Amino acid sequence: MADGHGRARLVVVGNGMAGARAVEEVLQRGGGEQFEITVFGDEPYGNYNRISLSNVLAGSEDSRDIFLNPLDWYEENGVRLEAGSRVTAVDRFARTVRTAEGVHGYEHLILATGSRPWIPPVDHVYAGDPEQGKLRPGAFGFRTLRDCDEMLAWAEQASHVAVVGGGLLGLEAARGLLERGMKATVVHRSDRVMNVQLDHEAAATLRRAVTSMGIDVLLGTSTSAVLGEERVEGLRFSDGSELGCDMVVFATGIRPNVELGARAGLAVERGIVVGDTMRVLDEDHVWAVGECCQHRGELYGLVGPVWEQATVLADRITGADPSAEYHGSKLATKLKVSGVELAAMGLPGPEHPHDEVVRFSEPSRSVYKTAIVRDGKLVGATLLGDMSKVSFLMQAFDRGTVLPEERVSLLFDLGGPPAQVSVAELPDDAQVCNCNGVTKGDIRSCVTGGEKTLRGVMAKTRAGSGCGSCESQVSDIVEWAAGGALDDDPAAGWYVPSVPMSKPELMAAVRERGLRSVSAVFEALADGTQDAKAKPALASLLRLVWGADYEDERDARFINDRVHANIQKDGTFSVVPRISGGVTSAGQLRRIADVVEKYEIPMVKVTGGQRIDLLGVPKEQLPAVWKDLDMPSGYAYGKSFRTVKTCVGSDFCRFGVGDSTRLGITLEERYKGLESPAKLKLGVAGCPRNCSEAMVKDVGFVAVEGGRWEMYVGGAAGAHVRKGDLLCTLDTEAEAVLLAGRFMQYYRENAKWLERTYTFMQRVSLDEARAVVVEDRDRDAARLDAAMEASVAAYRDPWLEAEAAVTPNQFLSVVKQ
Amino acid sequence: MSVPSGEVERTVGHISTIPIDEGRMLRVDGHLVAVFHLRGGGVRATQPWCPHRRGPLADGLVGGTTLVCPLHARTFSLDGGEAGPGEVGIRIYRARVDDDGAILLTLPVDGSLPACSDSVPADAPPGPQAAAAPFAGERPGQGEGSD
Repeated sequence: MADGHGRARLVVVGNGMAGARAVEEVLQRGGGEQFEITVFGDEPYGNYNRISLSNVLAGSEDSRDIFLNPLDWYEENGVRLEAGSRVTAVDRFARTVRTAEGVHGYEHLILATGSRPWIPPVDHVYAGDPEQGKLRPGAFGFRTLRDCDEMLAWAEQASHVAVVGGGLLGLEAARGLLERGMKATVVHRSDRVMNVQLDHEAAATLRRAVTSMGIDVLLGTSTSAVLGEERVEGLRFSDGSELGCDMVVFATGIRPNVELGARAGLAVERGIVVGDTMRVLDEDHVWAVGECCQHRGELYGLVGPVWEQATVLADRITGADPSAEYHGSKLATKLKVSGVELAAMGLPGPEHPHDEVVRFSEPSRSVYKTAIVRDGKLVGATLLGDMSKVSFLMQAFDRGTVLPEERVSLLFDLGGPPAQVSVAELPDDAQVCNCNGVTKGDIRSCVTGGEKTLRGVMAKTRAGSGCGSCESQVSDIVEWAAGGALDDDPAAGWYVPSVPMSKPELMAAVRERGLRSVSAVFEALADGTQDAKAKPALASLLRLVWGADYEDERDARFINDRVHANIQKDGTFSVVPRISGGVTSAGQLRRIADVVEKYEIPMVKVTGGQRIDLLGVPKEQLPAVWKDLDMPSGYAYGKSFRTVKTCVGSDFCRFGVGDSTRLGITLEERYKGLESPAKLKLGVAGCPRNCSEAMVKDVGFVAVEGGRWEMYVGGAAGAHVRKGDLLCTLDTEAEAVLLAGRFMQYYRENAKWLERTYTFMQRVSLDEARAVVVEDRDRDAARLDAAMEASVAAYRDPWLEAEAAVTPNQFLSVVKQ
Repeated sequence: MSVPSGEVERTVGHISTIPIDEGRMLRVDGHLVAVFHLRGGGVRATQPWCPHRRGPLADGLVGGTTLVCPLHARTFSLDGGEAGPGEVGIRIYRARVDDDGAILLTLPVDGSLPACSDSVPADAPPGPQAAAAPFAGERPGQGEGSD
């Protein structure tokens, strides 16, 4: 521990964007107290924004404006900068670095040696000994501020530049020198420009746009020699043809500067190999960051990944977050060529057979847009000529957010309902949450008032806490109002807010600790703090885990589940007996009619689920009504399996190809009352005419010719409307019953509380659900089936409580004394 | 426990008539009171109806000393009656359980409690705050369509 203040010595080799950023991040975490920091930089000045060099070349930015940290900054922050001092050796055993001036000891070493332009093996490119690396006069790499200055000086007395390399940097260099009055020709080996980031059509569109500016583009052309002795006079290509020019710029990629690391005996492959901690492989005291390092086989040449690496490194080295890890970066880039707008992120095109491609092309305006979607997530996008959706796509790509089902809205803002107006354009008095009357202005002032998480804003304003259909818009407004300064909300992944665990973690903890009641969960996992709103969610989870061994505390149930009826706005209840598959009889109808008359039930309603609803029954009459009906509960009140809607089917319908009523009744008789994260509504249609709306049910079956059944899951026709996903097609009714059960068990075990199947399916993806439920990838089907069988066997009609109340005064509105 | 003048302490029922962490509506001198039997011990007593849309508070969920109305999930403190920000709170009555399990309420003698009726007042006029409150149908209230 070296200096007089007891601080450890931190030596940073490299004062480029990565090295300087790492130092900034370390200082931000209080590293100035911990470390005596020394930075060695090759270039004789403070650190600058290399990305802006293209703008300097084009004259749209002054070189003085691109400095990020002037020399003063180092002094002010107590960082010693050795600018222009090259580190020639590292002794990792003695923990020293050597420069021409002397030897410096370190406790921690960060290598941020960056990269240099890669010059292809072209004849005659070097002046003198190639080992010296000095390019022939008029030939340039494009990397540093000095390169930039020298190029500009040369351009003063030159007229035609050939840029070798048609990638991002090559195009930017060509455009920059064109701005300086030169004729520019891009020479590219590949058959398309920016071949790493773009598909053929995007590249063709870009090439047309670039050509129309006056840049010549030669594709499929590889350079074999530089012509001219004293200075560059032209290029020769591998087909023998030649191009006359008096300047050549190589923009043919970069090579990491690994020599220092390699000589020191560090693990070096293409780059200096680091692990997820950003430490060099097998080293405790040596770190690497930026373009010189290789992480999980990847080298990065863009700035975004460097920022992410610097953050992790700083978290680790200062101990601010000892568990921080870097897991690789998603690549997104924008082309800085004036007159061309281009953003490219992720994959240029589809790679798997299931990848969705959304594409729009309008060559006459040089507009091309494409988005690649895999498992509901954006994995690639290109926007050329129209950037209106760039921030939306960048965000979706970066965060893996749920995409609009109407994929075209990935590429266009469609006219239509307010949800599709960008939130910035909404007036402050626009009502966003129609359930609770919350406006955009309400949400904004809540955020500016200091609430920086979505959940916090939802809790305070009640926005999005009604039917939930506005939640994504609320989320957009919160993000917009916070201007990106949104706090990560750790509670977002928790099953309930009062217990800091996801559903799987909570299920494991409950099993491991033998927690069988809701109050026991609060005692063991929430410091004894009871959370009223979390009780039904926990009760549902415990019932799933323990089945018959669940210790039922009635206070954990919502009122509907305490009295087995649905509470109405006036405090009375509705009674819906089970009418399986919607098929009833004269006897049932007669009993229902008698009950309605006897108890003067104010409203009788045929429901959308093909049942009969008796509304306005006071709590004290519930047991008597149930007894007189002599029918089982239809569970029209719980977070449970509700009903199976069916069409007439093959018995009478002249179009029916499958016995939908029989399958519907079988399903309902088997799965009646099943506990579930949210309600489950099923449907069975006897033919693809879909009269029972089976395609918009949580689970729906549609008969197709040949006695087979198509199984749809994740459909909805409520606050959200969604056509179900075709999970599989089954040969027999028995298979349909089995697969319905297995899917529902999978959903019960994996869905969040109140997460309907339509949200669940979008979250887990159809492929995943199919792999587990249909293909049995995880060899888990037998267990799922057995768990479902146990739940089915545990069924008991709750209306039997009419005979014997379970809690004191269970069915009294007012206790009599 | 001393009872201030203008108030009277009255036995309103027995603790065994209310399950733990549930509430029941009790009738007191022609008035209705919602009484809750807390898991942590003790009782709390409140006005019977939610000020928002007249939900029966005794049917609500209880956790610690927090009460959630069964209709639209309005939340109240059972200690002070406070509601969420910007929302109307509820009236709390002092209540205790004696050694024999009797529930004792301290009530005003001026009869300022709401009038009693044995059946639930389906057509009772909404409370004064209800008229001004916006329509609300919160998801946690679970009071969605019945089928």
